[in-house]
Amino acid sequence: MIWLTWRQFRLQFLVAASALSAVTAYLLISGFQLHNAYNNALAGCPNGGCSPLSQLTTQYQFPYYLGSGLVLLVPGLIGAFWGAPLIARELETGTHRLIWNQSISRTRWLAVKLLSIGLAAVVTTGLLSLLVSWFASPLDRINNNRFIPLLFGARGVVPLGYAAFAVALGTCAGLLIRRSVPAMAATLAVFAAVQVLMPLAARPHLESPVRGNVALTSEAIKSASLIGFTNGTGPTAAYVADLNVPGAWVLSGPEPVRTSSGQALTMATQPCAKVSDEATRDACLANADLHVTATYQPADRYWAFQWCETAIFLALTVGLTGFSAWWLRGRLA
Amino acid sequence: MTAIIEARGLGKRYGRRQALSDCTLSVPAGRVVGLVGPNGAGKSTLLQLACGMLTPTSGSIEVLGERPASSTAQMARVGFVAQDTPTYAALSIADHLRLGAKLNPRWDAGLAKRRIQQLGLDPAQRAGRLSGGQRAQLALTLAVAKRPDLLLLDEPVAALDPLARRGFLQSLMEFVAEAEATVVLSSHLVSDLERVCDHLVVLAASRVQAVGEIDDLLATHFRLTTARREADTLPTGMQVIQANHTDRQSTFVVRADAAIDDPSWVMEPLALEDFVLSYMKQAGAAGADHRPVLETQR
Repeated sequence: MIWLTWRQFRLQFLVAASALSAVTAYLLISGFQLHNAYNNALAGCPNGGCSPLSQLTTQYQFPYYLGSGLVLLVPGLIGAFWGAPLIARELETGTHRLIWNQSISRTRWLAVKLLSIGLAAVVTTGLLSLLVSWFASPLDRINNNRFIPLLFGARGVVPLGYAAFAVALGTCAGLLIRRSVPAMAATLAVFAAVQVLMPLAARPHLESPVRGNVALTSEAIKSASLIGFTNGTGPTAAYVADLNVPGAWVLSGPEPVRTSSGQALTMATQPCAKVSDEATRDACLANADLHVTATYQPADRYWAFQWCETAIFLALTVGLTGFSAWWLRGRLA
Repeated sequence: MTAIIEARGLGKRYGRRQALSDCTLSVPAGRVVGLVGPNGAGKSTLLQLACGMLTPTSGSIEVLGERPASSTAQMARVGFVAQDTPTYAALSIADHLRLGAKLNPRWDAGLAKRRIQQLGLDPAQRAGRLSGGQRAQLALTLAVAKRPDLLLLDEPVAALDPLARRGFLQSLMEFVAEAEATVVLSSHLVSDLERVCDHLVVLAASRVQAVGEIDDLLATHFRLTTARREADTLPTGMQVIQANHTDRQSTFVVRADAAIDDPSWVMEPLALEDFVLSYMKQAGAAGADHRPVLETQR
């Protein structure tokens, strides 16, 4: 049965492997260059924060986005191209009536196929995630933002969970729809929807977020998404800021900037209003002992969230697989 | 010897469509059974119930003393050649034989190899490039090399040209002669079955219409031609299957234990094809206006 699975699967596998090996070579080469450049820059400025380091993020932008994008995309593609045809192709060509009349139960047939393809998917995605995590590690250290939704799913162990889930989803779609191409489309659509819903609706609530004060330091000002005025233009306009917390995932939007006594500032009461030069004003703000109150998932929860989300996707995988096995045994004509 | 297939009140429903209803039949061992009926009569459904591809919605079926596909040991004893003889287009003939060898404990590799050689097929050829007849032969080889006690074939020759059809049936007969297995073969063409079968099941309008040894069936069914008269004026003991009337003459297909000599009629044996057709027409008439049995057919 393993032989047959491999014999039917090898073409799809080789196509994927050759496509990924090209990307692998590219990421390896630019990865070594990036790591070299990073180490040199660190040696040149031991305290960090100097310009060569921040230049690296723009210099290696393309492989960085390519790698991260691939880790997000590959599980979905695997689900569509490996998972969906797994049963749908058999049903489409009628060969299920050949294979289910050999001396092997349908459950065992499905188990071997799903385990083999699922394992291949998890290993492929795992290797890719490992490679991209290694490649991007200098940039991730500079940016310190691996918790944000776009990067969370492209690093660590969650891609493995996504891959297993995508294969189970594709198989199930193929079993229910019974045609390869519509099943592939359905797999991609559902997988994309889950990938969007997860960070929007589920991930923020895995653990209740922390609400705390974030100081308006010069670093915070530099990395802020937004600092400005809202609610009109006059002296009563509220002074708000949307700050990034290093390594954490900030869930709240712009929040009022407050003084150490907790008073919310407006355009009129903003202490550095008279300074017109931007650099001097930022320095003035950083010295004014200001803060905002933000809602966020702190950086030290990163791995707990990674494992938790992986477990959720593995549970979904088990559920879908069980449903497929049940459907295959009883319901399918 | 006990029955190979034993069905009691067997039924299968797809949504609101009843594909097979109240099917009770028993197939004895060692027979070559023809399953005949018009398209949509439930032949495929019955065969797929027998091999465990489908599960019944009512009644029960036992094959070789067990529920179909209840265990891999049971599956190993039943060979099935599905309609349109599906094979893996991307796999070679040798791959198919390897598949059979790996998935069947009773696999006869020598037989499979010999059959492919006899057919003059190249083992390295992909199944997708075979002709319809060659593909059917490959599917038959896979089923036969399992060394089944029961071989089920669902319209295996329907898509084949006459030459390939003859070759296929010949291969089947060789297997039957050698293996002493029971074979159930479905077709909507009586001529295909006449050559190979000794037992017959007529299926029409989702019900079993007639079942038995072909010789027995033909020995008890007659065409009776007489001056015009109504069916109920015939002697009791004659069961009318079909009646045709012209202005002056009536023709009946009747079931009777033996031919009865009477100067007022001519009673002659039926050809198998006419026998089957009269049962199909009877079922068609009964199904069309929901009357229990036949009346006149004009």
